Amino acid sequence: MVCPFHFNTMNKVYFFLVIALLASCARKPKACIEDSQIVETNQLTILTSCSEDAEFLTWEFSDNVKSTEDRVQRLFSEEKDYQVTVTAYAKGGYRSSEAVGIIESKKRYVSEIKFIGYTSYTSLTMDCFDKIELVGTQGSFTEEAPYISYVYPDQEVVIEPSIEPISVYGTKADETQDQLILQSYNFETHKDNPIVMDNGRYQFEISWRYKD
Amino acid sequence: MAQDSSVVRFYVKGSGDFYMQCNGKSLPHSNFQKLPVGTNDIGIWSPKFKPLYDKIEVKSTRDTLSVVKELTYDPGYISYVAEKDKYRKQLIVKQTIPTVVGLAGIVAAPLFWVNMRSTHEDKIKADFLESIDREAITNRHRMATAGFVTSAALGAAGTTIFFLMRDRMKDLEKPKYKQENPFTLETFELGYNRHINAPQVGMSLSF
Repeated sequence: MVCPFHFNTMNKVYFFLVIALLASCARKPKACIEDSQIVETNQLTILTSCSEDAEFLTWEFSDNVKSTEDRVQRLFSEEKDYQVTVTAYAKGGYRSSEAVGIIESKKRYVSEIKFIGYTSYTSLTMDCFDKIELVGTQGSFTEEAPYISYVYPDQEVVIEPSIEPISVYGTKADETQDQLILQSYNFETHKDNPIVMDNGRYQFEISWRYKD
Repeated sequence: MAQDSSVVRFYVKGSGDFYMQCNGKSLPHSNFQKLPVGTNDIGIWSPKFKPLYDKIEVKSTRDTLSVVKELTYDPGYISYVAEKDKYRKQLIVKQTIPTVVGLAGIVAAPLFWVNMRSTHEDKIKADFLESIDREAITNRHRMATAGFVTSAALGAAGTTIFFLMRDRMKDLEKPKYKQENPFTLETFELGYNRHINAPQVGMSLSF
């Protein structure tokens, strides 16, 4: 009786060749990127992919910027949405898959300024990328009843990702000015919202928001 | 005292190693023989050659007598040589070449495979980035692909031919040459060792 699993030498060779060929086939990679992510305009940003089983990636942005790195470090210079296509390739590059995501490049805008403390100044001027005038600031403002000035959208003051000082001047009725507070921030890393400035006598809270 | 024998030196063209007999009796294995004075029937034989029979006249003398004889090849040996060449050519064509080609292909194919995959990755990146050296990278990939396809084909063809021919080679008759020493009971044999691809010699005694 002939055994159905009987292999002659030739068949054995072909069998091992087929096994070797199958073993060398790479799994199809799964390309992945977050559907939507917000990055700050003009700030160097590192983008990573959540792709699986990928030997290497290609990144293509809608502004025609391309990369083949695993992590892309780039700057988005315009405040707009960028489409990114990530292609994940298996070893050898014979199998691939694509994923598309949106990178929302947004600037930070000062939305409101809150003040707590007592001043005899008729107005306060905050110099932060642009001058913001706070009027009617004479008197005492508490945590329960703070002074609040809404900035956005009437005035578009952008917080740029750079090291910048914020200073506040008080103007008296006789137009004399005093510097009340001065503090520097590295807005590349300082992402707190609100930005709190407190020197013991005066407390300012600068809230920011992205554009709609 | 009159001498009843004399020393004869034999010069045998064709072979340096020969056997002799004189008047039906085997002589020692040497080219110097002491032969009786008078007419002697001598026989000379060397493996692969036809036996030579002749008469020599030995005179009583103190000097050594020199005799020159020439052996001619045995026709059986000539056919053996022709068969051996034919067999060796068949071995080379049906076994050695497929084995060498198949092994070379099997060894080279994985190396080209790795190189082909690597250069394909480089090509994809270069095309994607519209790199200035993409033509050179594309050429490298083409070479690697050609190398892989060729070596894989050679490997497969060599292996297939080797296994197909292996059974046929088993049936192929090895060339053999057998000759009996006409003066003794010895048999001289020439065969062919396919593993070392060379003839092999054998001597046997028959009783």
